[in-house]
Amino acid sequence: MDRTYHNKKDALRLKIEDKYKVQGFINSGTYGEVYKAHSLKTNKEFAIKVFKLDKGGDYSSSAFSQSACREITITREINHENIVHLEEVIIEPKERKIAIVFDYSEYDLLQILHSHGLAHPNRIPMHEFIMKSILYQLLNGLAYLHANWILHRDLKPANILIMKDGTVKIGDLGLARFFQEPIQPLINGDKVVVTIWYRAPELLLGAKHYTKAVDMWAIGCIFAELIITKPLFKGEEAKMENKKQIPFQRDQLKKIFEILGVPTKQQWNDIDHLPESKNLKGFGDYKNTFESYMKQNAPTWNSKSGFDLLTRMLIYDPKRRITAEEALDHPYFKEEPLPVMK
Amino acid sequence: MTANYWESSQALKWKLTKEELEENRKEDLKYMTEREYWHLNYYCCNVAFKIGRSMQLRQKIIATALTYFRRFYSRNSFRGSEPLLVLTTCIYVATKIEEYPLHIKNVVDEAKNAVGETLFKFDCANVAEFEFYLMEEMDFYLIVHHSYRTLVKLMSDLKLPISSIQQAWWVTNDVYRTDIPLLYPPHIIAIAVIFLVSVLIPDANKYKDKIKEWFIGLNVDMTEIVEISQEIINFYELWTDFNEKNIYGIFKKLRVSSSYNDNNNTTKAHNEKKKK
Ligand SMILES: Nc1ncnc2c1ncn2[C@@H]1O[C@H](COP(=O)(O)OP(=O)(O)OP(=O)(O)O)[C@@H](O)[C@H]1O
Repeated sequence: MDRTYHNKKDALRLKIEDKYKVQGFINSGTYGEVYKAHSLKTNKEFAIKVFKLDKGGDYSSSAFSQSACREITITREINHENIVHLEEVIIEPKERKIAIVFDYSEYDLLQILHSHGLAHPNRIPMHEFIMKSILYQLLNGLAYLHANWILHRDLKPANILIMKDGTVKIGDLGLARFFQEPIQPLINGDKVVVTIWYRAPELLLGAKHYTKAVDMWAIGCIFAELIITKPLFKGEEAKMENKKQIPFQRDQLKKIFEILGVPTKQQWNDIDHLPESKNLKGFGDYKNTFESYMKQNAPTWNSKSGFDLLTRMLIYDPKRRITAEEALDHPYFKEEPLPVMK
Repeated sequence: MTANYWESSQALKWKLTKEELEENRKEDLKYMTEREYWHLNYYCCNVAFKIGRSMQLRQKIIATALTYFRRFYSRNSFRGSEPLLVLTTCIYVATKIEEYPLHIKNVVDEAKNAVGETLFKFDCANVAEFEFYLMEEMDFYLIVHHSYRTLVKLMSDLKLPISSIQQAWWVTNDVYRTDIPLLYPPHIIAIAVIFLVSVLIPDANKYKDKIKEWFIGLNVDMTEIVEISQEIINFYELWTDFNEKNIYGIFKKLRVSSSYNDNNNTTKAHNEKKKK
């Protein structure tokens, strides 16, 4: 084999340590390990995500998992202030190493919620102004993704990054996909399944295709979590018992129904067409207690328009659920305190 | 795809100029004629289409793969690289990016089938390794916009006969054998293809006025459309005497010349020129 090209490229390529000083380990996710580093040239801080190999030393398998490919191509393609910025990709073919360099974010939303919630026995409510600004920026990033035919599919507090200057950025686009063609549920091809607490009811009931509304449900869950500083629907995940059958997520649905009531045909016209709708019979007769639930869990929060927006994000029928574009235009963002972009 | 082509990496990072492409081609043209250069490229494209057919891949996947292939050879030469390894890796990566992931072994086996073992000497490890190099050469910009969608939409707006829709589709496939996708936006390519096909419609007179009106309404730069049509016609001219049998000879040239030292090569190429 002619390796002239390989050799030429190998001679030119810089390694991570030629450009960055790695300061320490931050966290590990499903796909990789994330390190904090700074640029040797500019001293700017970065987060470097190093991908784990699919299969250890198997040189005849690809080192670029589907998720690494998605994350690289999608974050490389887009450019938006509320979406994590990809600085560069560094590869080391000999070590079969792939590293993505992102702008460093000081916190993620999970940490912030933790400092307000679990860490304090009495919970400290978040300032309306902060909450609103976070939500607004999130929606702004998501509206951009959706306008560009991209679904995120894994929105959750851990994937929402907060920069030093307060800018909110949507991160972890490892599950993001273009949706011009129908998208199958994640469970089929992909190994990982979206975190169950933020999963939309249509998916829980076996809907075959992802839509923008799935991301909006997750945003609704996150908005509620900002208000009550704990997850809204904290269901127990039913594990896969065998590979062929996708488990029915009874407990997660129960958690949703306990607060929002069991969906009626009037609320959600297509509900009977969902593959798992027969399972709905097994649930008791829950009523919608959302308003009193929120009052109880966030006694000091009394934004009428905020609650209106929240309920629109958590509408059962995905066709009627508010879109990111519409949400940005909601009265909640037009009344004091006004949201800021940082 | 990002909804807006003008903000895409294809428009901002991978729109090339004829001058760049010609400059890069000079290296290969030291060792082969321009015709041979293109015939080698057509051969590789044939392999891609063949693999696409036998694996029942959507046309878009092959179009993406061939775009990667042409991008790769807009910055490198056939000599010193392994075109069939590059091609196989392009197809493998395209299946992932177009969300139709296949096992690397299936793609390699299909490529081996399509090419034959004499020319195809690569295994999965070679492709898995080369994937790194290809990604790097693409600068990790892998989303590609194509003209098929616009083509179908425009053709149905125009209500042209089915036979010409079919023809336009074929011409569009052929466009991926050329540098056209690196030089022009996809919707302009679609319009140029319709322009070309409309000239070829058997009962063109019936459509003449309609098409003329339509083009005026489009408000596009006609010089670009004519340029693209001319390049497509050039392609068909170069294609006329393409014969897969000659490919071994061209590959041999590539190999023989790369084992000589540079000096030797230049004289050899020089002699060849003289012969012509
Ligand atoms: N840009 C960044 N700046 C700082 N920390 C980051 C950054 N990106 C990621 N992290 C940290 O690394 C963790 C894992 O990153 P990420 O979510 O991208 O990986 P993953 O493997 O896809 O994980 P997951 O299991 O959440 O899908 C994040 O939860 C966060 O704590």
